[in-house]
Amino acid sequence: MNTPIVKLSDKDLESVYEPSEDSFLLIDALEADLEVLKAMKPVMCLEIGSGSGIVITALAMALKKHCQCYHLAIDINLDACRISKKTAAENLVDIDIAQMDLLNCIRTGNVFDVVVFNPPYVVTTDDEISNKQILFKAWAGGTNGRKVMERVFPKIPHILSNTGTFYLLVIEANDPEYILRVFTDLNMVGEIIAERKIRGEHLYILRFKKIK
Amino acid sequence: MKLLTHNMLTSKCLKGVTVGYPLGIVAKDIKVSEVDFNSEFIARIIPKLDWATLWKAAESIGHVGELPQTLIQDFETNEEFLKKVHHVLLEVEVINGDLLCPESGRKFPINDGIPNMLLNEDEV
Ligand SMILES: C[S@@+](CC[C@H](N)C(=O)[O-])C[C@H]1O[C@@H](n2cnc3c(N)ncnc32)[C@H](O)[C@@H]1O
Repeated sequence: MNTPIVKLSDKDLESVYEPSEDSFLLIDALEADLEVLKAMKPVMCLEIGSGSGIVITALAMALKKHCQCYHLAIDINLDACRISKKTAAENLVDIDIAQMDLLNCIRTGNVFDVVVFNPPYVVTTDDEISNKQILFKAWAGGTNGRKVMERVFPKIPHILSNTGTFYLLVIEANDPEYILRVFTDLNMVGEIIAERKIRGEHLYILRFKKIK
Repeated sequence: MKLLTHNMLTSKCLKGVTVGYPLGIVAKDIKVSEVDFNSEFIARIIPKLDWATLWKAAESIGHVGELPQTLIQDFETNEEFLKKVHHVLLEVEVINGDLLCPESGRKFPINDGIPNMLLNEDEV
């Protein structure tokens, strides 16, 4: 998978998450799954919290060679929405963007074939999530670092198509085993498909599918 | 914002709103561009759509053309029809305007093609 060109000015970096190890691990995991993804011929993909847009753009670039696909990116931060749009355009892929709090205004209907989420996962106090500085939203995850991501968990089965796949990045402190169990209760099956240790953080990629 | 995205959006999360779908569209600027046509892709995306919503959205912004109000039966094999659907789904974009909650009238502004679906704390 080619890495998209992402241009962020110093000004952009004040409010938009800079592609980091977590972004790259998620892209690597999608790349490792690319043959499976191509075989399922996804027609609708969604990224929650697209930030610079690097992940969904990488996915769109890889799928474009193989099939046509619609891509939607959501972020709560308008600057991130704008930069995601720009990143897509600079890499010649078509991605629609909506500014939204998680999946708040997405209708249920089991339409998305691929959903990816690299959430704010750092363990912080719950207050830090609503810090006025928008960049806090990129990483502040509250208690167990799960406060933001777990709001979308129960919605995933309602937006994912029956053959769809959900990719989630988490860290050790979020308790990946606990998250896998939460999804079991949602009638989905998950597994760890990639992990990487970086300075003081142990990153994991979880992949979920619906139980048939 | 493409009409395909509009098809996926609801204002149901607003306090007191029960369906919140489909959202109305008031388009100030519309851009029409050419996108490569792939009949298989369109045929596979149609079952995921709410057809009545797509039709109404296209109609309300003056781009419905000859799109039939009800989905035809053998759409997979009808190239002419799939091309019309392709056009409204992917080639027409609302750049500036508003989305409207059908129940409360709450406006969601669209600027530079990005709809702002954020709600205030007291609205949820
Ligand atoms: C860890 S960053 C990931 C950015 C990008 N996807 C990447 O991998 O580089 C998390 C992103 O989620 C967004 N975000 C945080 N809370 C959100 C919410 N409630 N709704 C939508 N997006 C949110 C942040 O603005 C940020 O862009």
